[in-house]
Amino acid sequence: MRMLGLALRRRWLRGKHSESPFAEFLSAPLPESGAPFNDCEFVCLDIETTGLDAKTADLLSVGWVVIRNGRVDLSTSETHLIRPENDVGDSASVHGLTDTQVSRGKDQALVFSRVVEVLTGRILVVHHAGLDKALLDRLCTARFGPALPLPVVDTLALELRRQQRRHHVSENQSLRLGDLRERYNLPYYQAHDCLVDAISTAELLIAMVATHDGADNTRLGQLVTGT
Amino acid sequence: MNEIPEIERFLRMLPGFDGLDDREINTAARATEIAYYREGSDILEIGATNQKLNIVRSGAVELRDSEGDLVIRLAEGESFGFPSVMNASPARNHSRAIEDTLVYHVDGDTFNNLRRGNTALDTFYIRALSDRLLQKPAAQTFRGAADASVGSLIGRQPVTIARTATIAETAQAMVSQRVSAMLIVDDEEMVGIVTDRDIRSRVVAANRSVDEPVASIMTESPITLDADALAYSAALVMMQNNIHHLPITADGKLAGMVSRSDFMRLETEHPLYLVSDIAKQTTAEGIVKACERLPGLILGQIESDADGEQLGQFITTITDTVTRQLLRIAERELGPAPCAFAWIAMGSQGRFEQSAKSDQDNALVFEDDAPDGADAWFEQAAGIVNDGLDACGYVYCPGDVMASNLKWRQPLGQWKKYFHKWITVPEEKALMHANIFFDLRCVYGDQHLVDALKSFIVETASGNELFLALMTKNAMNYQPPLGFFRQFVLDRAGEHRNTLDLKLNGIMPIVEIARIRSLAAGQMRISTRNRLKAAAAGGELTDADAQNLIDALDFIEQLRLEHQSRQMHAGKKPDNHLAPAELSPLVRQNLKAAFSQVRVSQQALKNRFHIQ
Repeated sequence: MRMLGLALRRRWLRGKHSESPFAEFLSAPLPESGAPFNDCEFVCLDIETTGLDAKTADLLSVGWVVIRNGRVDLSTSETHLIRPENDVGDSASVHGLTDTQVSRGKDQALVFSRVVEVLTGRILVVHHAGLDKALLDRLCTARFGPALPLPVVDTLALELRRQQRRHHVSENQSLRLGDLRERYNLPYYQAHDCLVDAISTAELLIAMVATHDGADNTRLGQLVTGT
Repeated sequence: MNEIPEIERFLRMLPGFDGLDDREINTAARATEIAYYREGSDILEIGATNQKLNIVRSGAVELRDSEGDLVIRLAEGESFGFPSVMNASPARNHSRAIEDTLVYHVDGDTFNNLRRGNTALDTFYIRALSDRLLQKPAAQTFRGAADASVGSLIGRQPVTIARTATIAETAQAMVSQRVSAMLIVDDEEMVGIVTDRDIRSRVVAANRSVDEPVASIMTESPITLDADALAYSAALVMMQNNIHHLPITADGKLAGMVSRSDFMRLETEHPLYLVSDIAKQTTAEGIVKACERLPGLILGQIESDADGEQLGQFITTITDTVTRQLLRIAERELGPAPCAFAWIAMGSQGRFEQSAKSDQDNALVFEDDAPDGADAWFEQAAGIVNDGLDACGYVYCPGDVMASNLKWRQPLGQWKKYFHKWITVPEEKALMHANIFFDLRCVYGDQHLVDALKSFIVETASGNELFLALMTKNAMNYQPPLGFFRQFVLDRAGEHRNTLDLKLNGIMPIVEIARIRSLAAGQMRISTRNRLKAAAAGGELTDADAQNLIDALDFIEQLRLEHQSRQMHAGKKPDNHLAPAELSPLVRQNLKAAFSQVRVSQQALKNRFHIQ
């Protein structure tokens, strides 16, 4: 249902945006809900921001990597630092980025256009998608009018849903990326920049798919947690 | 350059990759795909196209060959699939995740490009490749009986009885089950074995009551063997331990038992049969006839996994057996020897390193106070042995180093004089002639005579730097064929044009280095591998240098075996001349690496004895 509504919305928007990367994004066919996992392409993405409020926060950096044929393809990986409109503030201590580093960054609108380009025809994967998706939506609205209409796989929501279905939810079981990775026997990563987190998320998704239904038996519809 | 932090950090730690610069590491990282394999899932099937260098990032992978035998288990940081990328060939082994595993698949072309630009990476993987190839030779077209697994010999379920049973009950069960041995169990676990012989010797002969528990006469914790082991090794285990029954386990559980008679079911084309067959012959003609089977046996051995070292020992064992049997025949024909003597094997036979094409090198020593005219006996005996060996295919020594030559058929005192002269007033020419004499081993007769000679040699030679230096200079007559541009320098003329001589250019230099180094360390070891190890133990070589030379020797010998096997298949006489054009680029590269190792070691030897 989610995917169907999405298709309608994209078709409606297509009429209104005939040029720009957004037009291309809207007209690119998306895989159907019944498409096998290995036939779909996913953009696993992580964002670092200047704050925790999607209405005011700005992009600091963004990193992503694409999953195709069921594998994380590192040749597609990219990271971009963004020059913020305001100073870095408190988040610098979180991300270890300084004003000087960030000031060497690129223009936020430019990077966002690149994000839209990369997402064309693909599915967005984020661990704990809420803030990141809201921020992307806000940037999209500011740039093109509507929110970013695309299927989203939130690996955190996916794991939660799986646990609920099996009545395995436990209060103290952390769903944080690092803890989930450990549970799926994935290696520990020291670094925490947005590209490492994007790759971490990508590895987590292929591990989850392999563990639960296997790539051959997993359909896109089983993974999508939102739009 | 867009860095990929954690991936690059991991790659940088890998052996071989540790010498790459940041840009190269980034190139490798960007050419990587990450895949996740659930425990138990297949990664590559045998024969599959593989264009990736596969690195275990986390978890574990095992490789099995076409027989289902385990080749290797790989953990984090270890790679597989590189042989097919380096050789552009399909996957040779079946790879499977044995834990949940994350694998980095690095694009093969990128990997090959990086190797071209970085010697450390290249060397590491060429070495890894030769290791992997040597673990399991690729050519397995022919499988002789020697290759049957011991499990295939098990005819029936194990016959067991509880340890609480009495001796009488056990004997009755053996009769009704028609077995000559009974396995004793406690619960499911095997705790001992009782055989016909035990009942004879430990019960009847010892006047023991048959009402005692069988546990009182059983052999506790008998030797066992895994069902996957080769039948050949089961035969060896039984012979070495002088036992007739061997319990076989599979997955740690009792699976059955084999007895010596089970081996009758194996073809008689087995090396061990040839040895006992030769030992039964009473005429030289009979021995020659038995030896006709030797080429086929050698071929079977080459093609059923034997490596150079094993094959050398196998062929040498046969030669020793032939020699001994010929001497026994001589003693029968000529009557007993006039005094104590020893038959000495030298050169490759002395070192246990004979190949399919070896000529004979031997000598004879007898005690100093021999009666007058004693030599007449030795001369005739030597003639019988040398002629017999020649007829069996061990052609006469071209340098006439044979016991039939009076010069090499002398009393102990004269032998000591020879060595004393070679060592204390060395002349280059004499030495070149003499160096195979340093590989001497007693094959038949009075071992003490040979031991006395050997200790004399070590005492005289080990401290004599001048002598060792001259030996070293001599050893440089054999050079690995690497030209200035590391291209092969080939025989330019004659029958073997465009070939290289694996023995003269590859094996001999290593043999020479080992001989000199072990003499310098005051060791009179026999085989080249043992000499290298002894030299390392004595501080004459580093452990790494010794191991590298052994690896190089293993590789060159393996190549020679494969070459000779091809020739024998084609009905040709085996030789040592290999045409590099026949080799795959990779094997050629490995051979170059092996030759480079030899050259480095030769240089080090020259430095050791201050030779320009």
